[in-house]
Amino acid sequence: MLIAVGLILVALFGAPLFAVIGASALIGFHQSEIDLSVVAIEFYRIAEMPVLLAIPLFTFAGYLLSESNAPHRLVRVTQTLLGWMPGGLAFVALIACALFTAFTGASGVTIVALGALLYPALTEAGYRQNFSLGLVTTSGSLGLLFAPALPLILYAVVAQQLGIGGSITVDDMFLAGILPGLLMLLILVAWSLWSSRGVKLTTFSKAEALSAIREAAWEIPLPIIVLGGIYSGYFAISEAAAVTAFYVLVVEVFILREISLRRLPQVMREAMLLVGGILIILGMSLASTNYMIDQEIPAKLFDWIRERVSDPLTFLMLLNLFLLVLGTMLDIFSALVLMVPLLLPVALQYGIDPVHLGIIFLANMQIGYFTPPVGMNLFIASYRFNKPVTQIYRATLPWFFLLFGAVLIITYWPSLSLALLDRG
Amino acid sequence: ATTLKIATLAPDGTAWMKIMRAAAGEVKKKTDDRVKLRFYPGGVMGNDKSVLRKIRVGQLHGGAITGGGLAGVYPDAQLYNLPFLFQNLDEVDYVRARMDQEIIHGLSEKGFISYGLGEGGFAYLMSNSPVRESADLRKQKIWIPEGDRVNSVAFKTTGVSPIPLPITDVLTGLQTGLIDTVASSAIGAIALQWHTRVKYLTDVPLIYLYATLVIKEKALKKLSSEDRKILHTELASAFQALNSRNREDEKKALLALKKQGIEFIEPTTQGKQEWAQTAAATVKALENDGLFSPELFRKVQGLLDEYRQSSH
Amino acid sequence: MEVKLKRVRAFILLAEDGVMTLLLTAMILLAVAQILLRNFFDSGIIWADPTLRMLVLWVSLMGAIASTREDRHIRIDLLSRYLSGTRRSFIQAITDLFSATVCGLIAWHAARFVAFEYEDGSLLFGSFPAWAGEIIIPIGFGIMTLRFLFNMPLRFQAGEKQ
Ligand code: NA
Ligand code: NA
Repeated sequence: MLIAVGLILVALFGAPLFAVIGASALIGFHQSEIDLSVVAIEFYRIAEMPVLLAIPLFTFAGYLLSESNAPHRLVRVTQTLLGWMPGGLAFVALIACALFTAFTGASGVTIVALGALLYPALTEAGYRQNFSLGLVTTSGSLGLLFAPALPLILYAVVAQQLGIGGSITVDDMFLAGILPGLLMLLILVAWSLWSSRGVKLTTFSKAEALSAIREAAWEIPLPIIVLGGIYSGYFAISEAAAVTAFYVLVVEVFILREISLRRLPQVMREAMLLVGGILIILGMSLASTNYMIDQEIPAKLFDWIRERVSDPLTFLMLLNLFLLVLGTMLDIFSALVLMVPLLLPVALQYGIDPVHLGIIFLANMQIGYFTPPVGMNLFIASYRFNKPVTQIYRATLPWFFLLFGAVLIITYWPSLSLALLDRG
Repeated sequence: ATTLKIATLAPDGTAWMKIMRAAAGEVKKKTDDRVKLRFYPGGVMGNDKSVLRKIRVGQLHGGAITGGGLAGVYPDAQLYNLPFLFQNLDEVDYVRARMDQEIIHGLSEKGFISYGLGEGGFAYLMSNSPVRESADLRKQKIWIPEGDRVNSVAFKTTGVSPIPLPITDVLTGLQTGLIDTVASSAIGAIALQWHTRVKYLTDVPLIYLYATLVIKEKALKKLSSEDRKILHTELASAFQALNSRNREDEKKALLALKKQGIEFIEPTTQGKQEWAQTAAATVKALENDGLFSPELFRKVQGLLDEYRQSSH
Repeated sequence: MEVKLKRVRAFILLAEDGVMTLLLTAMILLAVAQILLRNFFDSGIIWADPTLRMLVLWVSLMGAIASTREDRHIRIDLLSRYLSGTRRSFIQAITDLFSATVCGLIAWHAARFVAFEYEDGSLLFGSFPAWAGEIIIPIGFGIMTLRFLFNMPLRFQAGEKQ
């Protein structure tokens, strides 16, 4: 307890987050008389996780784009095409982030890669600063419920192997995620509309639109190339980052020449500074998570909760709270593998459909990424946009409550998840 | 009391873990709470290498590890994993009845106590167009698990270059056409849902898969010899149960694949010959690399010849 | 003396940036080469994937070293902004000492980890020894330890200047 208070204090007085998390892991392992080299063994798992390759590559692409005139061109295109529509750019931004996260996972790379492009674009288009910050921070995990997000697949794989509650296929999960995901998107679009009341509308001009599109002729094909390349089997989802980084490099440095070869190392450095900042925290979290797993803390927490439940409604309520806490403690993959086998049998007892449980689980995990005060994406946004964490807290709070509301609807309205499936 | 911490890849709640937990319960009861087993299921402690590192520094005491995973500790552990080694399960039974002890002994010399080998079934080629011989195989875009040296050598000798991908990309890769062939056991293919994205299964056992539960000998030093004996009896019988249970499950899984409409393909005579040659060439290449000891391999080969002659 | 130190410093900066640029460029080219080889030449580099992941580890630690040098690590820092002058420098020196201790401990235990791997002769792929890739962990955390220690007196200098 004293140690925890001490760690919180050094964190509040400005010790780097990685050192605080690392210290908690070191102290924990030391108290349990476990060799401290476990921290290094866990840190090394950075080199064993293929998904992480996307982080440096997308971060670099994001920095290149944001250092070039691409954000300006993007604003011009969306303004001419959607400027007549209230909340037009916000709408595009939300869809883009959701799609991007569905393909890359919610590691915060959406904020770094897309946010760097969208934040200046949103503010340039007249959206309030805090609204724009809230949007890019929150949208960093929006899209976990849309196919082909990895957590949906992993849930199906884990749940199917348990052999209880009937068959649970990946396709079931893909279908089940659609409506709840759209609900979240819809709520955020409505909020964007409301918040962008003050933004000036423009009239549509065909000539201006064509000229804007021509100006952005090199950037517009990028999403089409990436998605087209994946769906036609030219490359894997995990390779999308490499294709993007290479394409952006060629376009901005060699074709448009907005970033000179001499400046390139500097942009690379800036990007890698951020990558180092994020991944060293991730590496330390691997160690601290491993300590919690070693001591079976998530399971003990769940046992404590289970003893206090007697009906489905309390179960669901406590489940939401539990998952919210869990989402800030564990990464989504450890959380799935550890908790689904414990949760599923209990949920079945209370008559909850396993597919519905999966959607509840992931929806909660999704908002865990930006739950104040410790959600990881809050810190990434604070760093990337060079704003104090307190401002990020303020900026994301309305978004957090809206999505928490969406999670409650998803939880207590099972047909939303199950409507598109045969299971009723 | 001693708590032995053990990592496994099977998620909690699966039949595999239920049998392990039941054995742990027996151990606890029969040793009057002196020996407890604590499991870390679902691969949360990392891959085989990571688990072995944690065993080395004492965070973990043991783990259920695949034959390939143990190769770093004891190269001969992957002897059974050689491609096209076995033609059917009867051959497996004949060889294993005479060889398992050798492998268990080899592991114990490296400081790991093994409680028996648990079958993982045969890996088969599952594809989107029929594969009957090497020429068909060369047309396919094949995925194999990464880091598998034995397999990559085997494919190289057939002139096939497999597509390395993280396992998480396999399902979508099959759907988009990035890959069109995977090697997997029926149970594995169903668990990872790859079976929903393939049409054919080439009915030739490719590789025999197994895992074994090992506990570091150092971790057992504190136990009395009686408690060690109890532990051994319970875990060994659990592994025997797992072994036969898996065989039943794999049979059912193969049937399920058939029922789902996956067509089982017989190789051509030429295909059979080519693959026998591949097997021989692979063994030679690996032997030159010093990846396993030639004496043990010759013993396996001798047993197989013996069995094949007697059954004809 | 001071000129010499400055030159050394400039050289270190250049070297760090050079290594980082090189690693990232290698990462992009290797990943793209893998895709091109597969689609146009029906082949692939078997060691590409583990190498790419190892590059991620190296880039992370190089980036973290640079972040330490420029004092730009991600932090919560809600309280120290309310302090001023010497008090602030003092608190910053304490957090530096804290970070140096953590990094130092990790560097030491990471070195032990690498030594184990060296003894075991673990291989990454084919014949490439695993320790040669892993060695960046103790080196990276070692450099960060020194950096945090060097920062401590600098904090007071900065505080006096304010
Ligand atoms: Na999290
Ligand atoms: Na964590």
